Amino acid sequence: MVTMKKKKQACQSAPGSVDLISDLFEDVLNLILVRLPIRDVVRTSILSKKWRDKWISISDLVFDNDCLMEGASEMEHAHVVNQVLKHHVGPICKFSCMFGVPSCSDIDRWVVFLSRNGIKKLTLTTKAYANDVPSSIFYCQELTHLELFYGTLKVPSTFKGFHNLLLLNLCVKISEDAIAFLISKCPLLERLKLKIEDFYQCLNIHAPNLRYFEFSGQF
Amino acid sequence: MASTSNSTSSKIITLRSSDGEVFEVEESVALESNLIRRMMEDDCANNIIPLPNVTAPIFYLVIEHCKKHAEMKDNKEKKKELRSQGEELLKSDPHTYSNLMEAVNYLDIKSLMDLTAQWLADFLKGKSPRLIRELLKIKNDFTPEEEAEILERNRWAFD
Repeated sequence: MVTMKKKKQACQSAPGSVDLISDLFEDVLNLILVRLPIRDVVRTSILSKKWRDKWISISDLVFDNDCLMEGASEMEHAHVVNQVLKHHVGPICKFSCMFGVPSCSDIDRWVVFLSRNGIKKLTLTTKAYANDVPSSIFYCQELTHLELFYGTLKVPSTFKGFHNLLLLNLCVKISEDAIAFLISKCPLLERLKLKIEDFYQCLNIHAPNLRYFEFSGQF
Repeated sequence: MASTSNSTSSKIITLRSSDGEVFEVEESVALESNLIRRMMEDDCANNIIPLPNVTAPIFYLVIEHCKKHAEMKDNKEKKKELRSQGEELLKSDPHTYSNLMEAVNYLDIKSLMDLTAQWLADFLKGKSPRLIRELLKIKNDFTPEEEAEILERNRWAFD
């Protein structure tokens, strides 16, 4: 229920020629831009001088086939990611790459950049199981969500753990020892989804906070 | 007026907009705003809560949408309807949209932040820069050279 002491019905606005949207706060604008495909986000740079650099500090970067160029190759998609990251300034909360990235050195460079910008939610897709997932993902200490598709994942013995990781989704080649070690270093893990290419004899999981577990693979 | 504000069943909160209008709002609606919630926790609830950054017409819109949002819970049709209203508002009155967005941000109302952000995102999606400028009254202040440079910098997005 709302009652207004002095009834005022119509919602009058100032003269319609004024552009206020360009002056919305940065954090408000970020909320809007993260809901757009990356292509539309970048296209806002041409609107006016005020808009030119608004896109470069967007917190979530999602590159999927729908929002990139239709019919473009994976090399061209990777070029787009390179372009966006080259101009990006400020923290990046979420980075999703849903197309198979052909070059491991590209992924490595992106992940190193993301690890320095506080990445929390990371989704990476490599081109093939034969490609190694760059070990730079283990630098991303603030991760809460990690999803890896394809590629071979090796866990360095010096790995100190993802102390904030809540969700882990792996669809990779990884040894049973490596996976047991990785999970044992993620004390807060709540959701675990594994689709494993290798044959396992035994899988040991130590995850005291686990609430959801899905496994697809062969023993 | 203040006597109703202490009733237990349906507590009424009294708020005053920046232009001096007084609103009586059900507590459940008012508490959608994290700003008002914090003010109440600080024990300002027995007095009139001032909102120096929200005008009456905009606050009226905020309350309306808070109620609509509460009603639409789990109703997909209503959700769709509410989401589609942004296009109309942005086309007819982008000025009010900006004021509403800023008020919702100031009042810290999560559900309406999501809704109004989605409105503008839906509105911008797929439209040409020329049309966006025209509808939102954005003045193109680039020189042709500057415009060409921006197009060149991210050619992939404009092809």
